[in-house]
Amino acid sequence: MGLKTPKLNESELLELLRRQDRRAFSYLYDNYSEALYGVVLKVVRTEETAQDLLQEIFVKIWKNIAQYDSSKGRLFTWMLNIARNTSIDYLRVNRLEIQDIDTAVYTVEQSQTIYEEINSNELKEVVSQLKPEQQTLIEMVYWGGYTHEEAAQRLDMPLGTVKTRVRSALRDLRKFFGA
Amino acid sequence: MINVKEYIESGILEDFLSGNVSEQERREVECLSKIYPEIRTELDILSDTIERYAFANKVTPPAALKSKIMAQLAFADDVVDTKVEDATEEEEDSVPVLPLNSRSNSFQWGWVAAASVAALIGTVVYFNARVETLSTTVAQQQTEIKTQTEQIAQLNDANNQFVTLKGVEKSPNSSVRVLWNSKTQEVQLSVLSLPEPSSDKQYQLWALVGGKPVDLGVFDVTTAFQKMKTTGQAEAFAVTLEKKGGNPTPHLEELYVMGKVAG
Repeated sequence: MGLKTPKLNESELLELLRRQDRRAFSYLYDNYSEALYGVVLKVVRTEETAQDLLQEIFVKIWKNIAQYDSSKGRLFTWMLNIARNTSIDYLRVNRLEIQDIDTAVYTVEQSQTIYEEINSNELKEVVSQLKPEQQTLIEMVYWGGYTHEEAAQRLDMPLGTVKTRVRSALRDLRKFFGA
Repeated sequence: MINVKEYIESGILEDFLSGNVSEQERREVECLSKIYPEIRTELDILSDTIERYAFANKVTPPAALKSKIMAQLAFADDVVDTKVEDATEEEEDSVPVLPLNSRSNSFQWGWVAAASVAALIGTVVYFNARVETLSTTVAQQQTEIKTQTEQIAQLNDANNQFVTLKGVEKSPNSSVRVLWNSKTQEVQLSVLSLPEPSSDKQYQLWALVGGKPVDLGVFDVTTAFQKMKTTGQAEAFAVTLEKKGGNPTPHLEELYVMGKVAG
């Protein structure tokens, strides 16, 4: 596993994963674990729990990879769904709340991702243009699996306001990314 | 015919991606995105935005986590490699050396040749069968090792607790081991000893929560750990014999084993 894996495109990667190829999983993990870990860390309180959840998430990804249908959406979106559902289950059961955004300060390390054009420092800069409230909303709703109602209650905002702000946050982010 | 622009601007795609849509709306989005390329493009851009946002917030997990995860997965090369190696070794070792009498006449030679061919065929058939058996054994042993490694890993998890369910009057020698992780709420069960039930019956595990039995599912009589339904709380675990597929409430006269959770 110390060997440098050649770059794979998404369909090659999926084909190998479906054949239960060890290196393909290693590749998938190397490319996505950091993004998914960042997501989970924002949702649960402790690193230890986040690591347990990340484990659960990757085992689920591995077991269900045959069900991923690329015609329905991107691979990361599918994996994020798994991450979100795993976090929701955890939070529901433990009656925990998403951690406050200002207590979650973690170092962001730069590394190669499956999308070569994505440079994480640039991304971080782009994201910092987003208001903290918008970041909280995106993280609660897209990562933590909060419903609009739950987010409204938690942030003490009218439901309509939450709905509008989540959409505008995503629209702003999209504009910043130039997409 | 829908107004695609209005549909996109309604915000339903954003809500679809966060799961904030009804079942009907979800199907609608999936269906419309197949019909209208503009909707699909919009969905892709939004997904990409969320993806980039996640990558902007990435954090490196501890290095040890990767091997911990990989140890839990079954890869294609786990069993296949060993099979191929074993088969070659066995075949090379087992080709028989048949002495031939160099001075024999043609009549004898024919018999020797025929016998050799027969012996060779017999040997090949025999060893093929043996290689197959050996490969199966190796595969079985690997599965066993994997199960045991998993069990050892479970022993090391401080959140795991073992509860031994002991036989009551009905079956004093029976016992069942329950492994419960109060944090992940996972419940696993291994049968140490239980009488084989008749074909129309199955054992069912219950958790006692607030004095009330909660169904944790039916199971088969095997020593391998079986995953049961999860529970966040349990004062005790109990097993009753119920009809195949289980019952919503336990028949206490069919109680076989029981064990209290420590603490």
